[in-house]
Amino acid sequence: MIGAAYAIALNTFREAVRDRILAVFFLFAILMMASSTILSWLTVGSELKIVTDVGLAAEAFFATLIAIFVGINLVYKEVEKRTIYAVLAKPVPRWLFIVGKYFGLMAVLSVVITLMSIFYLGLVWWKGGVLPLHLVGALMLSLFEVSIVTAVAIVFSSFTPPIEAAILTAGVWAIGHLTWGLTGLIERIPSATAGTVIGLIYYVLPDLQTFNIRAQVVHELPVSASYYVDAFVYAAAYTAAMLTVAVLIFRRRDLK
Amino acid sequence: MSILRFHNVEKSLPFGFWLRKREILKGVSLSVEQGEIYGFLGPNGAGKTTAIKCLLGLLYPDAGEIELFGESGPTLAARRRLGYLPERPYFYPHLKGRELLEYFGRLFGMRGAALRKKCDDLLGLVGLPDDGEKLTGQYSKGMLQRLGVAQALINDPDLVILDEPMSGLDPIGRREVKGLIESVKERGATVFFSSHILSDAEALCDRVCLLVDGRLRMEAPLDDLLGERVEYWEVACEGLAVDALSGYQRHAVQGGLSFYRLADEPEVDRWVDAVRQAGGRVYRVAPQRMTLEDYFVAAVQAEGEADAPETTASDTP
Repeated sequence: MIGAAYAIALNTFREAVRDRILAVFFLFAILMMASSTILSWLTVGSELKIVTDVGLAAEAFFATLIAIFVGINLVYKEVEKRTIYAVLAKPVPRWLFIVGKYFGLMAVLSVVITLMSIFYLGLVWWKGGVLPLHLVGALMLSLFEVSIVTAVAIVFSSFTPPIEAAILTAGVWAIGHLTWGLTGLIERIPSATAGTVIGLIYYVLPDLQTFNIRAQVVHELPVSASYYVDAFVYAAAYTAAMLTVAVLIFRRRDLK
Repeated sequence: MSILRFHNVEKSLPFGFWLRKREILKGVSLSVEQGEIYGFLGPNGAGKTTAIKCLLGLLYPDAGEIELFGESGPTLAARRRLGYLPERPYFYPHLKGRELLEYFGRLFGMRGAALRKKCDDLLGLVGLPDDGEKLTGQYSKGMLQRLGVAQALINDPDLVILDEPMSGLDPIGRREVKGLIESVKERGATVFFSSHILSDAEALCDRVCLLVDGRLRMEAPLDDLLGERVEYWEVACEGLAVDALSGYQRHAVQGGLSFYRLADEPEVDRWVDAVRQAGGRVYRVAPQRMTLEDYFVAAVQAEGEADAPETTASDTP
């Protein structure tokens, strides 16, 4: 089983890294990070803050773009191009196929985020900044965030065409950065029923703002170690739930 | 011993904007014996690929049962003994031929030197020993088909399922794939292949079945089906005037030859005597047996007539 999962993950990894779109996104991310040095000239005295902020934002944004654009095709393309037939005719359960595809894309994203981080940390260091541990922590959190976005993209990819899946995944990503406001709303709303409904929405949708500590990093505010642990547990649990949903949808699907 | 059985398998699939269900398989029952080449025949749209997908677990039957190696449905253990070539195979264009075979080998838990050797052997077997390092996106249709056969054999399967293996190939490609199918049988595997190219099925199969409009029309050994029975005799003579043989209806004239179709041997004897008496020369006497194509066309036409709406007196203008 592990061998089969590894084979599917490796194939997904190869497919992504041999695709031009990954190189294009990577190049744009590097360009955007580099352009932060130009922006920093306009803000006398805050150059390092601008480079840190724009760099982190660029890295998170492009990692999310890659997760969405590669993730939405992961299952759908295999069905559309009929490559999946020869795979599932072999002793490969459908859940293993989904899990293998997920880990393949996560391997791609890990490599991309690592490469972008090396460039970004080099840029910060060049600008004279010290490299606090929280900067590395922020990069790690962006990996946690894309792990959720990838899982959501796989859920949509398991039953919708890429364009719809891209819109839905991007929608979940955007809403995911706003759901943190719902907790405050629950406290203020007088109706208990409405509070329950909003609470339900909060728990169903991902809270992606958890993985954004840019403000703390830029302003050198402390972030506790337990925060990272909680974020990791949340990301792992949400990802597992999303992959379970994808498997449940895909398990009984007729592959016409 | 049957290694594959369909028992009253039914399947409907949704089509169109409103996703209306259309019956594709209407109670298909068949059985495949160990060690034979079984031809799963039928016109385009008969439901052959749907049946194969049900057998592989890509589609879930609405009703009926599929038994594979004595197990109910395509379990993981059953699929471990299976090889499958999809119709018009399309493989990952980003992978090289060898990488593709290694990928499929790993899905069976193979690895290391044994896997590499298996890939070498298979690339040699299908005539692609020097193309393993090329991307499959650069392969021709025939090369993809051969690579498809190679991946179907990666696990030394007991049952090989080939969906339209000769479709879209030129005569040389077809001959090569035909040779590969024969070599698979020689290795002791059972071959189940779907086709609408009847000459190929006639040359390869031990048994065939005919699927028309989702229903199995017949299942029989090819010898029983076609047998030795002569349908008619085709005879030809030369050196005679056009009206020299009275009482025989000419079928065709080609060059100096006149062709006739005769019903049985006594009639052939009488025709030979008549030619000689008229001073002509018998050029050819050939018994014509029923071909699979004749059988196929007759069965499909019969199905069409059965499905045609009955004309009643009120329908007639």
